Amino acid sequence: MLRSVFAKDLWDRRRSMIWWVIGMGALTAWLAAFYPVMRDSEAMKDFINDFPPEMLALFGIDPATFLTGAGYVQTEMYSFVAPIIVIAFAVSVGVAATSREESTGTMDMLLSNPIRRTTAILQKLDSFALLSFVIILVPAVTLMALNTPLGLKLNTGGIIAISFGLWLLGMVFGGATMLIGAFTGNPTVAGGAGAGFAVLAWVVGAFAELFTWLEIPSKLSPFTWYLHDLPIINGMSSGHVWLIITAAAFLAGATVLFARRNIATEQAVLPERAKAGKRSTATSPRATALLRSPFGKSLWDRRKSIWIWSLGLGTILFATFAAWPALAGDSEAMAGVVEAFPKELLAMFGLTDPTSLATPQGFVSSRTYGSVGPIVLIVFTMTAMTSLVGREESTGRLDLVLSSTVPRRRLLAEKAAAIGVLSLIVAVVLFLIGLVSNALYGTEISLVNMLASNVGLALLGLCFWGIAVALWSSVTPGAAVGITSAVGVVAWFLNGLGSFIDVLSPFRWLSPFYWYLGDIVPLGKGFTFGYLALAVVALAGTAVAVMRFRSRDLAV
Amino acid sequence: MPLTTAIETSGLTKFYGDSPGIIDLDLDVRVGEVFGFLGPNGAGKSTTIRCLMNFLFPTSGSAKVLGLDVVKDTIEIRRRTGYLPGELAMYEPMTAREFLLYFANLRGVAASKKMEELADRFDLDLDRKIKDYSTGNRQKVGLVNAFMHEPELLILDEPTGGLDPLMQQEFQELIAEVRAEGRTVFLSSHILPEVDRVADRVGIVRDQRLIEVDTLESFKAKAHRSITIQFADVVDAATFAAIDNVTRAESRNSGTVLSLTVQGDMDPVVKAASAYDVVSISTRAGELEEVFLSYYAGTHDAS
Repeated sequence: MLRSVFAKDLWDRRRSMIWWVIGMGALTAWLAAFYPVMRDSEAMKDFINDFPPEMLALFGIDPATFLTGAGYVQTEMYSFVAPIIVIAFAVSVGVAATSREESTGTMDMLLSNPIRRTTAILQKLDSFALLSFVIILVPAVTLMALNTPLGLKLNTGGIIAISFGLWLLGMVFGGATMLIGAFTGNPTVAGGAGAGFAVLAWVVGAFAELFTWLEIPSKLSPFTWYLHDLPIINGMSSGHVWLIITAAAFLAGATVLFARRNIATEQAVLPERAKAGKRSTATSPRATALLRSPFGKSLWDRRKSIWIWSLGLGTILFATFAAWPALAGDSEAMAGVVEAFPKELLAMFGLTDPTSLATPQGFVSSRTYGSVGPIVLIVFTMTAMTSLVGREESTGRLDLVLSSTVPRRRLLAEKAAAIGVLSLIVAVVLFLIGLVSNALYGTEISLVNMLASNVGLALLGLCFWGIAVALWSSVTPGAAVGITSAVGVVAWFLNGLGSFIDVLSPFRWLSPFYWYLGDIVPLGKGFTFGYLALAVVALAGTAVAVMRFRSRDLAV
Repeated sequence: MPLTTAIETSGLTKFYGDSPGIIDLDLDVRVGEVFGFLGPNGAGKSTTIRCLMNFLFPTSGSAKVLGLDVVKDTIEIRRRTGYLPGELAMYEPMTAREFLLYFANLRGVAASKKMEELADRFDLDLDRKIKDYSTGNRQKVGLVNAFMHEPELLILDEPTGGLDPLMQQEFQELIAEVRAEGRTVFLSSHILPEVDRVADRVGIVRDQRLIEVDTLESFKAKAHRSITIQFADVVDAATFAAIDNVTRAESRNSGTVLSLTVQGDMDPVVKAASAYDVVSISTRAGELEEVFLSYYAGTHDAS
């Protein structure tokens, strides 16, 4: 299997691909399974027919086609969920291709062999293309298999067209990542640029319907090309051509740049004199103040990134508030929409109290505290757990820290406290942004509810930290994060499905999402006992980890 | 009673699941000595050190450092010990100064003066990001961290990796000073000359077991050395072969050049050679290494 760069890249991903394939297949089947419920809902038909189209656009619904299988699949699967997964995959492969190898130093080793640089990168492009193709093939095959049983009435040509477009979309953003990677050699910059470009392209494409000034830029968004002229119904279009041209340009650019690049100049291999002047950094007073303990050091490490997390989530919160006045005038119609939507479908997305959607607290919660917020906070605590605990141990830095006089118990407790404080900083920033937005857009949400929902959100993240760190004390850091993520997904669906599937409802109270969301949206309630449960799990998990850490061999 | 033993292990054993890290180690390191812990890669040196630092918990046996139990009194041990890991991993985005400041804070010491002094000595610019340092400079940061709080015991895992010869010499001087102050150094290495220049006693590990502990002088006495003598005239090899210490004698170049292998004292050979007209004498450098190589490879009988 290890005969070429191409084969080695495939071999590297032999295990992770299994999870991508299973996940993608399960997700597709799951979403498709709800189509019959949707199609047979009379209320849904009325609502689609009566509702203003620009409002439907906010929910990504095209009234002409939504009730057909093709329209449903396009809306629920291909317009948002599948692109996110494919782009996440493409960006991660794009980073791994060159810049990650440069930063870890393996690129030096690889290129010390008698192969041309262009050969190396072209083989990496080939493996990237093949792996992405496998990822897009899974939903296509799943949908074709379910076509007759679920009465989706999809035509093969349409599935091929949208899948091909999805593959090209992955090539475009993966290509952009590789291009920046080949230009800078820095994996963080490359990944950030690829992901940032994708987010920008999506925002421009998705909001073009609402804001006229976005019309021109939206024509340049790969997302617009990808969904141009409803490929799942009408087949290939000029959108595909634009995607091909862009992907080819990015990938060709990456190849050319890589062939001429000074390898690993970001790293420590340059003569020190070459980077002497500008790299000298005086120790700041803030560093002096924070670098007193593992707790302060953990905050200092995140002194920049914490603002990206907080303000990123804050921006979404602000935008959601800003969208409310436009909807408020139609709040009766909104209530109608909500009535029309099958409850099961909404519950699946975590909204177990659908009538609240017509209220500001319900609407804002649905877009932030009930959806993106938990994901961001959990990813945040998982990332912090990996870098503060897992990677510290595996790189051997924990050896060095523990060669000082810090007791193990104190070290872990301080790191846990730091993650707690960082989560609270996110909550405080969100609270302040919420206060301002609340005043600006007249949503009249009570102060206590605002405070409570942010505390609840932070506690939800910390609850998952508790689970992850307790697992870390027994298994590898990677497995701890993996198992915790799986627990998160199961808990999420347990809460949603438990609200209407009788078999599951007795177990619903086991889900941290039930403690957090319950049947009342976060902004619609104050402090609850559920939040207390989240805090208890966070503390208990930390306590277990601290106890076990005291008498454990450190791995390197 | 003053402390006489800095490190004492009895039957120290560490297994990782089924595979052994170190087996039945009995070791005594005296206060004030420089002890070299020698062995090939994977012999168990780092496992031993990581047990002493309580990063690993022994499977059986026990160990004391500075008279204190490695598990129970680890904090007190660490307070009085300076440590340099074999695989030095540091916080890449920090500058060396920030890094060292943080570690001094963790120990609760104000080490800034000693830190500057050591940095000067090693010619290290502290205000650069650690990720920008070369391997050698990273090692210097690690050494400054180990020495800056002036510990009474230094545990150094492969300390001179990546240092240039000038800095290696600086390091050796530092070790000599530390010894002169009556402090103890325990250093592991797989490179003999590194230990040769600084260590009083040496312990050799191979295949997870300690094979032998002795002074360098004794090891040298056991060493087989090669010596080549060029004479002005032809000499009889048999005269030299008859000397007790000579294990091999060969004449080359029609008998004017004599190549000998000597174990132990060189004196009888030199005395015998002085009877003739000697043009040049050369001994092969690194002769001690051969003894160690034979230990490493397991060809040397430990008895």
